[in-house]
Amino acid sequence: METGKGTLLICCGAIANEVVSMVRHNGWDDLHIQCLPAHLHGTPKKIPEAVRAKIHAARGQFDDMVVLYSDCGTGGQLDAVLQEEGVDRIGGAHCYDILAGRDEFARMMADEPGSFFVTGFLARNFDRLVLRGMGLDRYPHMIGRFFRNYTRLVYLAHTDDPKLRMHAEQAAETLGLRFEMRLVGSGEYPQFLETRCGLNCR
Amino acid sequence: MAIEIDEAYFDALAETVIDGEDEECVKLVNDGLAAGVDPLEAVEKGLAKGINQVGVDFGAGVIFLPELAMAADTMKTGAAILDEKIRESGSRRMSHGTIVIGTIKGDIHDIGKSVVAAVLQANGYNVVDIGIDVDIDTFIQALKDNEADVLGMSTLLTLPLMTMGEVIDKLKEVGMRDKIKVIVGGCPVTQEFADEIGADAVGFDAQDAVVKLDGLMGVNRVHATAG
Repeated sequence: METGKGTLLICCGAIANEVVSMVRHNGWDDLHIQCLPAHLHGTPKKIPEAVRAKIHAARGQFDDMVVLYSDCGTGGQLDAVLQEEGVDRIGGAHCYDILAGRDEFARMMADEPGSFFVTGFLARNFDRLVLRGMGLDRYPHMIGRFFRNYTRLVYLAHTDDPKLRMHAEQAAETLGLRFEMRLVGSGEYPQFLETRCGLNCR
Repeated sequence: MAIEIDEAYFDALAETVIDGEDEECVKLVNDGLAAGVDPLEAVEKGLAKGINQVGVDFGAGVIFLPELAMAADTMKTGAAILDEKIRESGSRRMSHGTIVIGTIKGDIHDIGKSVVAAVLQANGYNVVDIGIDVDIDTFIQALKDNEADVLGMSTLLTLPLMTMGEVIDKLKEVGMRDKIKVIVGGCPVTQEFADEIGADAVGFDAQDAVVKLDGLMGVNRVHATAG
């Protein structure tokens, strides 16, 4: 039963900019966004229980809840938690394949398995989330060892923002990778929310 | 000045692995060999002790992945010299079995798999690391070529996960499944997933891989733990 409390979107901080921008652009005022810390991206085993805690905290405050995480390296554990909690999520294996589009992502990975993907958020917070998050700020000589099998950094750009592009280019340079930018907009998120929540995209 | 081969020597060797000091490790190994150290003992009391400690520390969240990777690299560097001496002497390191290990097709991550390989090697397994982005047929051929007892498969990604199941299916198809134990690992790999694809065990980290593999191979020993 709808009570006018709207729908809560639980999403990863790493795609917060994309989701907020999409919701605003489409005027979806009944959608409310709460993000989990982006650093969980680096410790996916912690994601399922963090999502569960968010669901429990929000229970009763909204008419509906939707999780905008993909499996994101949880190996099906996120789905197990969501089944227990009776909440559904957008599909996909990684947020990158939803952003890039699943067919396109599969093609990119088949073409070049050594593709390292970043969103705008990850590009802007590269030092904190990637270098410091992996402990590579203390052992910069290990960057080459860690990324030696990668060949390119693919920046999945929500908009053509020169500042974010510069951050992403710097990240590629730090890792010694070829830089590529793909303008992907909000990827498959709007279509999913249109169908799931009965909304219309602008 | 010749060094003395005593507990302090083995502790110092272990410390080079813990600190990821390649050059110091090589120097200590060579000095030890010049002083007549038994290379088998140097591996077991020195290098293996160091890498096991690092594995425990990583599992406890005390150290970061780069430190673990550095330790694994140092351990492999030292072990390569000692293994050569062991071969030259005509003796053999005790082996609990041969494991072929690799990262599955579609995934190029190698740090975790390399660390597991180093820790297994330190713990008496003959490890054949066949690298990254390994397709089904390459796994099967490597198992045959090395007369392996165990297949180890790793991935950090969700998308290529099902390939692990396809490798196990292929093992059945070619009539090798009964002879080969299968252990899987990597970030998205859960016990439920391992059960679903018919693997024998999951190694949740390098130390856990040793414990699980020991269980599969019937090896009895006390395992290092945190705390």
